[in-house]
Amino acid sequence: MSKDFSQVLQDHAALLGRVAATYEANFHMRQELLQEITLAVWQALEKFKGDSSIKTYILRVAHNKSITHVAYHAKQPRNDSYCEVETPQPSQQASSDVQLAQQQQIQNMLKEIRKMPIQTRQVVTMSMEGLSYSEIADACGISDSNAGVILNRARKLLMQSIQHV
Amino acid sequence: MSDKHDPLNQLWQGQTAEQPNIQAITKKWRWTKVKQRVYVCFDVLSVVIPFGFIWHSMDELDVFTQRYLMGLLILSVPFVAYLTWLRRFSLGWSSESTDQYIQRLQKQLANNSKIAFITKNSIWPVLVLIGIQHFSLFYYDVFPIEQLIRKAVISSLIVTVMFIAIWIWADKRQKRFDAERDDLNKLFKNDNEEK
Repeated sequence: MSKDFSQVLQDHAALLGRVAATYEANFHMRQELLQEITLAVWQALEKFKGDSSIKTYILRVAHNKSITHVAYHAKQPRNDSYCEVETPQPSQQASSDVQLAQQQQIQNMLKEIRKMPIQTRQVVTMSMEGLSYSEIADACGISDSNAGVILNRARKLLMQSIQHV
Repeated sequence: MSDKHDPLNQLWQGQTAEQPNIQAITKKWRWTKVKQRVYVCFDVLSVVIPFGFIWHSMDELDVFTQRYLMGLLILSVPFVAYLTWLRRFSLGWSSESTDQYIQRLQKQLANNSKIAFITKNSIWPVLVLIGIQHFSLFYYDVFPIEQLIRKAVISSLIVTVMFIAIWIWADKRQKRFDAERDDLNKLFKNDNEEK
Protein backbone atom coordinates (compact mmCIF):
# COMPACT_ATOMS: atom_id res chain seq x y z
CA MET A 1 0.00 0.00 0.00
CA SER A 2 2.77 2.41 0.96
CA LYS A 3 4.44 1.68 -2.36
CA ASP A 4 1.26 2.78 -4.16
CA PHE A 5 1.20 6.02 -2.15
CA SER A 6 4.79 6.60 -3.03
CA GLN A 7 3.94 6.17 -6.72
CA VAL A 8 0.95 8.56 -6.45
CA LEU A 9 3.23 11.14 -4.83
CA GLN A 10 5.86 10.70 -7.52
CA ASP A 11 3.19 11.19 -10.20
CA HIS A 12 1.94 14.40 -8.55
CA ALA A 13 5.28 15.75 -7.32
CA ALA A 14 5.41 18.59 -9.84
CA LEU A 15 1.84 19.62 -8.99
CA LEU A 16 2.75 19.79 -5.29
CA GLY A 17 5.80 21.88 -6.15
CA ARG A 18 3.61 24.32 -8.07
CA VAL A 19 1.17 24.63 -5.15
CA ALA A 20 4.06 25.34 -2.77
CA ALA A 21 5.35 28.02 -5.16
CA THR A 22 2.07 29.94 -4.96
CA TYR A 23 2.25 30.21 -1.16
CA GLU A 24 5.93 30.74 -0.44
CA ALA A 25 8.41 32.93 -2.31
CA ASN A 26 11.44 32.15 -0.16
CA PHE A 27 13.31 29.15 -1.57
CA HIS A 28 14.13 27.47 1.76
CA MET A 29 10.68 28.08 3.21
CA ARG A 30 9.16 26.72 0.01
CA GLN A 31 11.21 23.53 0.33
CA GLU A 32 9.96 23.17 3.90
CA LEU A 33 6.37 23.80 2.84
CA LEU A 34 6.67 21.29 0.00
CA GLN A 35 7.81 18.60 2.45
CA GLU A 36 4.94 19.47 4.81
CA ILE A 37 2.40 19.34 1.98
CA THR A 38 3.73 16.01 0.74
CA LEU A 39 3.54 14.51 4.22
CA ALA A 40 -0.05 15.79 4.62
CA VAL A 41 -1.01 14.29 1.26
CA TRP A 42 0.62 10.98 2.21
CA GLN A 43 -1.41 10.92 5.43
CA ALA A 44 -4.62 11.87 3.62
CA LEU A 45 -4.22 9.24 0.89
CA GLU A 46 -5.11 6.53 3.41
CA LYS A 47 -8.59 8.08 3.63
CA PHE A 48 -9.16 8.57 -0.09
CA LYS A 49 -12.50 6.98 -1.03
CA GLY A 50 -12.66 7.92 -4.69
CA ASP A 51 -15.42 10.56 -4.27
CA SER A 52 -13.44 12.88 -6.55
CA SER A 53 -10.47 12.51 -8.86
CA ILE A 54 -7.19 11.82 -7.06
CA LYS A 55 -5.82 15.10 -8.44
CA THR A 56 -8.70 17.14 -6.94
CA TYR A 57 -8.27 15.35 -3.63
CA ILE A 58 -4.51 15.99 -3.56
CA LEU A 59 -4.97 19.66 -4.50
CA ARG A 60 -7.53 20.12 -1.74
CA VAL A 61 -5.23 18.66 0.91
CA ALA A 62 -2.24 20.58 -0.44
CA HIS A 63 -4.07 23.91 -0.30
CA ASN A 64 -5.42 23.21 3.20
CA LYS A 65 -1.93 22.43 4.43
CA SER A 66 -0.57 25.57 2.75
CA ILE A 67 -3.22 27.68 4.50
CA THR A 68 -1.99 26.36 7.86
CA HIS A 69 1.53 27.30 6.79
CA VAL A 70 0.46 30.82 5.76
CA ALA A 71 -1.55 31.32 8.96
CA TYR A 72 1.36 30.17 11.11
CA HIS A 73 4.05 32.12 9.30
CA ALA A 74 1.99 35.31 9.05
CA LYS A 75 3.02 36.13 12.62
CA GLN A 76 6.48 34.56 12.55
CA PRO A 77 9.38 36.93 12.04
CA ARG A 78 11.52 35.59 9.23
CA ASN A 79 14.40 33.60 10.57
CA ASP A 80 17.76 35.17 9.72
CA SER A 81 19.10 31.79 8.71
CA TYR A 82 16.78 31.87 5.70
CA CYS A 83 18.29 33.92 2.95
CA GLU A 84 15.93 35.94 0.81
CA VAL A 85 16.68 33.98 -2.34
CA GLU A 86 13.39 33.45 -4.14
CA THR A 87 14.59 30.83 -6.56
CA PRO A 88 18.10 29.71 -7.48
CA GLN A 89 18.97 31.59 -10.67
CA PRO A 90 19.07 29.44 -13.79
CA SER A 91 22.28 29.37 -15.75
CA GLN A 92 22.32 32.51 -17.91
CA GLN A 93 24.46 30.97 -20.62
CA ALA A 94 22.30 27.93 -21.11
CA SER A 95 19.12 29.94 -21.57
CA SER A 96 18.08 31.65 -24.75
CA ASP A 97 16.40 35.07 -24.73
CA VAL A 98 13.04 33.42 -25.27
CA GLN A 99 13.58 31.12 -22.30
CA LEU A 100 14.70 34.02 -20.13
CA ALA A 101 11.63 36.03 -21.11
CA GLN A 102 9.45 33.02 -20.29
CA GLN A 103 11.16 32.64 -16.90
CA GLN A 104 10.49 36.32 -16.23
CA GLN A 105 6.84 35.88 -17.15
CA ILE A 106 6.57 32.90 -14.79
CA GLN A 107 8.14 34.90 -11.96
CA ASN A 108 5.76 37.82 -12.59
CA MET A 109 2.79 35.47 -12.68
CA LEU A 110 3.83 33.83 -9.39
CA LYS A 111 4.37 37.22 -7.72
CA GLU A 112 0.90 38.31 -8.80
CA ILE A 113 -0.65 35.04 -7.57
CA ARG A 114 1.05 35.39 -4.16
CA LYS A 115 -0.46 38.86 -3.79
CA MET A 116 -3.99 37.50 -4.32
CA PRO A 117 -6.41 36.64 -1.49
CA ILE A 118 -6.10 32.97 -0.43
CA GLN A 119 -9.34 31.86 -2.05
CA THR A 120 -8.57 33.59 -5.36
CA ARG A 121 -5.14 32.00 -5.32
CA GLN A 122 -6.71 28.60 -4.83
CA VAL A 123 -9.32 29.07 -7.56
CA VAL A 124 -6.86 30.30 -10.18
CA THR A 125 -4.20 27.66 -9.52
CA MET A 126 -6.75 24.84 -9.50
CA SER A 127 -8.06 26.12 -12.81
CA MET A 128 -4.55 26.12 -14.32
CA GLU A 129 -4.15 22.55 -13.05
CA GLY A 130 -7.15 21.62 -15.22
CA LEU A 131 -9.96 21.35 -12.66
CA SER A 132 -13.52 22.17 -13.73
CA TYR A 133 -15.62 24.96 -12.17
CA SER A 134 -17.63 22.46 -10.15
CA GLU A 135 -14.50 20.69 -8.88
CA ILE A 136 -12.98 24.04 -7.87
CA ALA A 137 -16.22 25.19 -6.25
CA ASP A 138 -16.48 21.91 -4.32
CA ALA A 139 -12.86 22.09 -3.13
CA CYS A 140 -13.17 25.72 -2.00
CA GLY A 141 -16.66 25.43 -0.51
CA ILE A 142 -18.14 28.12 -2.80
CA SER A 143 -20.74 28.15 -5.61
CA ASP A 144 -19.86 27.42 -9.25
CA SER A 145 -20.83 30.95 -10.31
CA ASN A 146 -18.71 32.48 -7.56
CA ALA A 147 -15.76 30.38 -8.69
CA GLY A 148 -16.30 31.64 -12.24
CA VAL A 149 -16.38 35.30 -11.18
CA ILE A 150 -13.24 34.96 -9.03
CA LEU A 151 -11.43 33.13 -11.83
CA ASN A 152 -12.25 35.69 -14.52
CA ARG A 153 -11.05 38.58 -12.36
CA ALA A 154 -7.86 36.76 -11.42
CA ARG A 155 -7.08 35.78 -15.00
CA LYS A 156 -7.34 39.40 -16.12
CA LEU A 157 -4.76 40.45 -13.52
CA LEU A 158 -2.45 37.59 -14.45
CA MET A 159 -2.66 38.37 -18.15
CA GLN A 160 -1.66 41.96 -17.40
CA SER A 161 1.27 40.80 -15.30
CA ILE A 162 2.72 38.56 -18.02
CA GLN A 163 2.29 41.19 -20.73
CA HIS A 164 4.57 43.57 -18.83
CA VAL A 165 7.72 41.62 -19.71
CA MET B 1 -11.99 23.77 -18.95
CA SER B 2 -8.23 23.45 -19.19
CA ASP B 3 -7.02 24.91 -22.47
CA LYS B 4 -3.52 23.73 -23.33
CA HIS B 5 -3.02 26.66 -25.70
CA ASP B 6 -4.00 29.25 -23.12
CA PRO B 7 -0.85 31.36 -22.42
CA LEU B 8 -1.43 31.31 -18.66
CA ASN B 9 -1.90 27.54 -18.55
CA GLN B 10 1.19 27.07 -20.71
CA LEU B 11 3.28 29.23 -18.40
CA TRP B 12 1.86 27.54 -15.32
CA GLN B 13 2.61 24.05 -16.58
CA GLY B 14 5.98 25.16 -17.94
CA GLN B 15 7.43 26.34 -14.64
CA THR B 16 10.22 24.31 -13.08
CA ALA B 17 8.68 22.84 -9.97
CA GLU B 18 10.78 21.61 -7.07
CA GLN B 19 10.42 17.95 -6.19
CA PRO B 20 9.62 16.71 -2.70
CA ASN B 21 12.03 14.31 -1.07
CA ILE B 22 9.82 11.21 -0.87
CA GLN B 23 12.43 9.23 1.05
CA ALA B 24 12.58 11.86 3.79
CA ILE B 25 8.77 11.98 3.89
CA THR B 26 8.55 8.19 4.28
CA LYS B 27 11.01 8.35 7.16
CA LYS B 28 9.20 11.26 8.83
CA TRP B 29 5.80 9.56 8.47
CA ARG B 30 7.12 6.32 10.04
CA TRP B 31 8.70 8.32 12.85
CA THR B 32 5.43 10.28 13.42
CA LYS B 33 3.50 7.01 13.71
CA VAL B 34 6.05 5.56 16.14
CA LYS B 35 5.96 8.77 18.22
CA GLN B 36 2.16 8.78 18.44
CA ARG B 37 2.13 5.11 19.49
CA VAL B 38 4.76 5.82 22.14
CA TYR B 39 2.63 8.75 23.43
CA VAL B 40 -0.42 6.45 23.64
CA CYS B 41 1.71 3.90 25.54
CA PHE B 42 2.85 6.63 27.96
CA ASP B 43 -0.75 7.76 28.47
CA VAL B 44 -1.89 4.22 29.26
CA LEU B 45 1.16 3.47 31.43
CA SER B 46 0.53 6.66 33.42
CA VAL B 47 -2.61 4.93 34.73
CA VAL B 48 -1.49 1.29 34.72
CA ILE B 49 1.80 1.81 36.63
CA PRO B 50 0.31 3.79 39.57
CA PHE B 51 -2.57 1.30 39.64
CA GLY B 52 -0.12 -1.63 39.88
CA PHE B 53 1.94 0.21 42.46
CA ILE B 54 -1.10 0.96 44.64
CA TRP B 55 -2.38 -2.59 44.23
CA HIS B 56 1.00 -3.97 45.26
CA SER B 57 1.30 -1.81 48.37
CA MET B 58 -2.40 -1.88 49.26
CA ASP B 59 -1.74 -3.49 52.66
CA GLU B 60 0.65 -0.69 53.69
CA LEU B 61 -1.83 2.12 52.96
CA ASP B 62 -4.61 3.26 55.26
CA VAL B 63 -8.22 2.89 54.06
CA PHE B 64 -8.68 6.61 53.35
CA THR B 65 -5.53 6.87 51.17
CA GLN B 66 -6.46 3.64 49.35
CA ARG B 67 -9.91 4.97 48.45
CA TYR B 68 -8.62 8.43 47.65
CA LEU B 69 -5.94 7.16 45.25
CA MET B 70 -8.27 4.64 43.64
CA GLY B 71 -10.85 7.40 43.14
CA LEU B 72 -8.27 9.61 41.44
CA LEU B 73 -7.11 6.74 39.21
CA ILE B 74 -10.66 5.87 38.18
CA LEU B 75 -11.27 9.53 37.32
CA SER B 76 -8.12 9.60 35.20
CA VAL B 77 -9.25 6.64 33.01
CA PRO B 78 -11.77 8.63 30.87
CA PHE B 79 -9.22 11.45 30.66
CA VAL B 80 -6.60 9.09 29.20
CA ALA B 81 -9.20 7.60 26.84
CA TYR B 82 -10.08 11.14 25.66
CA LEU B 83 -6.40 12.01 25.06
CA THR B 84 -5.91 8.82 23.05
CA TRP B 85 -9.02 9.64 21.01
CA LEU B 86 -7.65 13.12 20.29
CA ARG B 87 -4.33 11.70 19.13
CA ARG B 88 -5.97 10.04 16.16
CA PHE B 89 -6.14 13.50 14.50
CA SER B 90 -2.36 13.68 14.50
CA LEU B 91 -2.23 10.66 12.22
CA GLY B 92 -4.66 11.97 9.64
CA TRP B 93 -5.02 14.97 7.40
CA SER B 94 -8.07 16.89 6.25
CA SER B 95 -9.48 16.70 2.73
CA GLU B 96 -12.60 18.78 3.43
CA SER B 97 -13.38 21.96 1.49
CA THR B 98 -11.17 24.94 2.28
CA ASP B 99 -14.09 26.91 3.68
CA GLN B 100 -14.88 24.10 6.17
CA TYR B 101 -11.20 23.59 6.83
CA ILE B 102 -10.67 27.24 7.82
CA GLN B 103 -13.66 27.07 10.16
CA ARG B 104 -12.28 23.89 11.70
CA LEU B 105 -8.84 25.47 12.07
CA GLN B 106 -10.38 28.44 13.89
CA LYS B 107 -12.39 26.10 16.15
CA GLN B 108 -9.33 23.96 16.79
CA LEU B 109 -7.29 26.98 17.89
CA ALA B 110 -10.16 28.16 20.11
CA ASN B 111 -10.34 24.66 21.65
CA ASN B 112 -6.58 24.55 22.18
CA SER B 113 -6.82 27.88 23.98
CA LYS B 114 -9.67 26.49 26.13
CA ILE B 115 -7.65 23.36 26.96
CA ALA B 116 -4.69 25.55 27.99
CA PHE B 117 -7.03 27.68 30.14
CA ILE B 118 -8.49 24.56 31.81
CA THR B 119 -4.98 23.12 32.37
CA LYS B 120 -3.86 26.42 33.89
CA ASN B 121 -6.80 26.59 36.26
CA SER B 122 -6.91 22.86 37.04
CA ILE B 123 -4.36 23.54 39.77
CA TRP B 124 -7.09 25.09 41.99
CA PRO B 125 -9.30 21.97 42.42
CA VAL B 126 -6.13 19.88 42.86
CA LEU B 127 -5.00 22.27 45.63
CA VAL B 128 -8.40 21.84 47.31
CA LEU B 129 -8.11 18.02 46.98
CA ILE B 130 -4.64 18.10 48.54
CA GLY B 131 -5.99 20.24 51.38
CA ILE B 132 -8.84 17.76 51.92
CA GLN B 133 -6.35 14.89 51.94
CA HIS B 134 -4.13 16.55 54.56
CA PHE B 135 -7.12 17.46 56.69
CA SER B 136 -8.52 13.92 56.45
CA LEU B 137 -5.16 12.37 57.38
CA PHE B 138 -5.14 14.67 60.40
CA TYR B 139 -8.84 14.04 61.20
CA TYR B 140 -8.56 10.24 61.03
CA ASP B 141 -5.29 10.41 62.93
CA VAL B 142 -3.45 8.37 60.29
CA PHE B 143 0.05 9.70 61.12
CA PRO B 144 1.56 11.21 64.26
CA ILE B 145 1.21 15.00 64.03
CA GLU B 146 4.98 15.69 63.53
CA GLN B 147 5.16 13.19 60.72
CA LEU B 148 2.00 14.62 59.13
CA ILE B 149 3.38 18.18 59.27
CA ARG B 150 6.68 17.05 57.73
CA LYS B 151 4.84 15.20 54.93
CA ALA B 152 2.50 18.15 54.36
CA VAL B 153 5.40 20.65 54.12
CA ILE B 154 7.41 18.47 51.71
CA SER B 155 4.43 17.68 49.49
CA SER B 156 3.31 21.32 49.52
CA LEU B 157 6.77 22.48 48.40
CA ILE B 158 6.87 19.94 45.57
CA VAL B 159 3.32 20.79 44.50
CA THR B 160 4.03 24.56 44.59
CA VAL B 161 7.05 24.23 42.29
CA MET B 162 5.13 21.92 39.95
CA PHE B 163 2.06 24.14 39.84
CA ILE B 164 4.03 27.32 39.15
CA ALA B 165 5.71 25.55 36.24
CA ILE B 166 2.34 24.25 34.95
CA TRP B 167 0.78 27.72 35.26
CA ILE B 168 3.59 29.44 33.31
CA TRP B 169 3.61 26.73 30.62
CA ALA B 170 -0.20 26.67 30.18
CA ASP B 171 -0.42 30.48 30.23
CA LYS B 172 2.19 30.73 27.45
CA ARG B 173 0.29 28.14 25.40
CA GLN B 174 -3.02 29.94 25.90
CA LYS B 175 -1.50 33.25 24.76
CA ARG B 176 0.14 31.55 21.76
CA PHE B 177 -3.12 29.91 20.60
CA ASP B 178 -5.05 33.17 21.09
CA ALA B 179 -2.48 35.04 19.00
CA GLU B 180 -2.56 32.35 16.29
CA ARG B 181 -6.37 32.48 16.14
CA ASP B 182 -6.32 36.29 15.93
CA ASP B 183 -3.78 36.15 13.10
CA LEU B 184 -5.84 33.58 11.24
CA ASN B 185 -9.00 35.65 11.65
CA LYS B 186 -7.19 38.77 10.44
CA LEU B 187 -5.77 36.90 7.46
CA PHE B 188 -9.18 35.72 6.27
CA LYS B 189 -10.90 38.97 7.20
CA ASN B 190 -8.51 40.72 4.79
CA ASP B 191 -9.23 37.95 2.29
CA ASN B 192 -12.98 38.62 2.42
CA GLU B 193 -12.53 42.40 2.32
CA GLU B 194 -10.40 42.14 -0.83
CA LYS B 195 -13.12 40.13 -2.53
